[in-house]
Amino acid sequence: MVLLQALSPDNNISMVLFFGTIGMLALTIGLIVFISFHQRKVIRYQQQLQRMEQDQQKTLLNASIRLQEEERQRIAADLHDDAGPLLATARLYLNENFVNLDKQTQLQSIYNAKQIIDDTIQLIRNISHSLMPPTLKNFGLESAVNDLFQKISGSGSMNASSRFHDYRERLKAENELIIFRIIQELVNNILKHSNASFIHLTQNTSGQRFFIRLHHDGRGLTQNDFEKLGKSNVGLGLKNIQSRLKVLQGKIFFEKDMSQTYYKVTIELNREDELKTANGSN
Amino acid sequence: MCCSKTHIKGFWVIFFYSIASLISDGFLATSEWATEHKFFLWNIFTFVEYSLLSYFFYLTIKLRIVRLTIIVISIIFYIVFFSLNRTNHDQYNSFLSFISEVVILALCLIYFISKMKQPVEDSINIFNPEFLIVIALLLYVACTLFLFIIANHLSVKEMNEYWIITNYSNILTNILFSTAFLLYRYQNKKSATPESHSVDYTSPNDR
Repeated sequence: MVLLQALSPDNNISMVLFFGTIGMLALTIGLIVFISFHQRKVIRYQQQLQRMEQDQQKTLLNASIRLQEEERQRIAADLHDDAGPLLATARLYLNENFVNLDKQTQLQSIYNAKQIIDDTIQLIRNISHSLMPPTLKNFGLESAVNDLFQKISGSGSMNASSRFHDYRERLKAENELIIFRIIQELVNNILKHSNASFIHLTQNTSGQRFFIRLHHDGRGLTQNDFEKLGKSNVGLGLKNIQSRLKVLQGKIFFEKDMSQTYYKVTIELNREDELKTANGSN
Repeated sequence: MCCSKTHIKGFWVIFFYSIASLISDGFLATSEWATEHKFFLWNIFTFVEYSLLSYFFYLTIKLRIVRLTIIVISIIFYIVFFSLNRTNHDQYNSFLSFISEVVILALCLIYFISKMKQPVEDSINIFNPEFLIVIALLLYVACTLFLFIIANHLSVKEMNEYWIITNYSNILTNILFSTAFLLYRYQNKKSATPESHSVDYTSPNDR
């Protein structure tokens, strides 16, 4: 009835009312449909991102587990192949026949056994130091890095130097260890893959941000390479760096220097995050 | 998301709006005085409707600027409303209804935009009671806007004939409101049910 009346040609107001209302309704329904579809699309996109992040975390977790297992195997091999035979040899010198030997031979056996036990002590100390460097624990990151770089320089294969510009206040011990492990991993990679003739490490701060930069003149990685390797199955060490940085909520950037001669790796941390985690753990 | 104090307040506002609508329609249908002074009652209802719906959006949209704009527009609306209705009580004021509808329409759109900008967890969900209420209001405004624009140009007979649009849109709006209230109740019940009972059965000695 309303429709018929509205569509009669002599009723202009009714036409306006009819088409106006229909138009508004169509616009409203269109808007609702658009919003629903748009929202669904956004949700799907977010879910995809979440899934990708979960995959990435899984890869990092696998990498850290694998690394842990490798480390355990290395320690087991060191103990089994080195400490085991040494102690077995020492035992041979001090066997049951020991009391039946003449005094001179006894003294020689004791001396040899002592030598072997000293070697074993040194070996175990080395293993222990590789697990937790005492310099890092007692004197902090600066001393531990200097120590590491001195050892590298001392080997003669590469010139390594480090300079800490602003490290009056030490980071938390566990964070220092994580940073030290990252530096170790990076230096290890440079030694293995880059053919560099020098490494230089600098530390500085800007406000609450804490920076560590590594320069070297060998073949290096760019950020693209790092991200690609991070997603692939290879590059266990890099994944380990990623997972360690995740703990610190830090960032890492791989780039070529402005002069295009050197490669630069920058580790960036926020000291506020460290304070937050410290408060959180309290 | 649907269970904060502000949201519950918003649902109460919509509930009172539905009650006001029911009372107004019931009164118009049953009382002779109301039929004689129906334009006056419609004007009063426009006032109540605008107040409740703008308050609903004031509670729902958390942007400071929008809340401030709602307050300013409402003050202007009330001044215009009282100055226009001071003299003539027995004429339907189509202009005020139109202004009220346009403001509600704009607030509906602002609500959608603000929700689309929010992170996914807080954004629009078709099964969100609040979203359904805003859809209901949007449909109501869309159905009745043109009627209110031209209401002053219609004769009383035409007005009575076309008023059916408002009735149908009222039915649609109330259905959506009811769905929203039911959804709210259902979701609230669901969230109140404990999902798991994590009881530590190990004795302290076992740890």
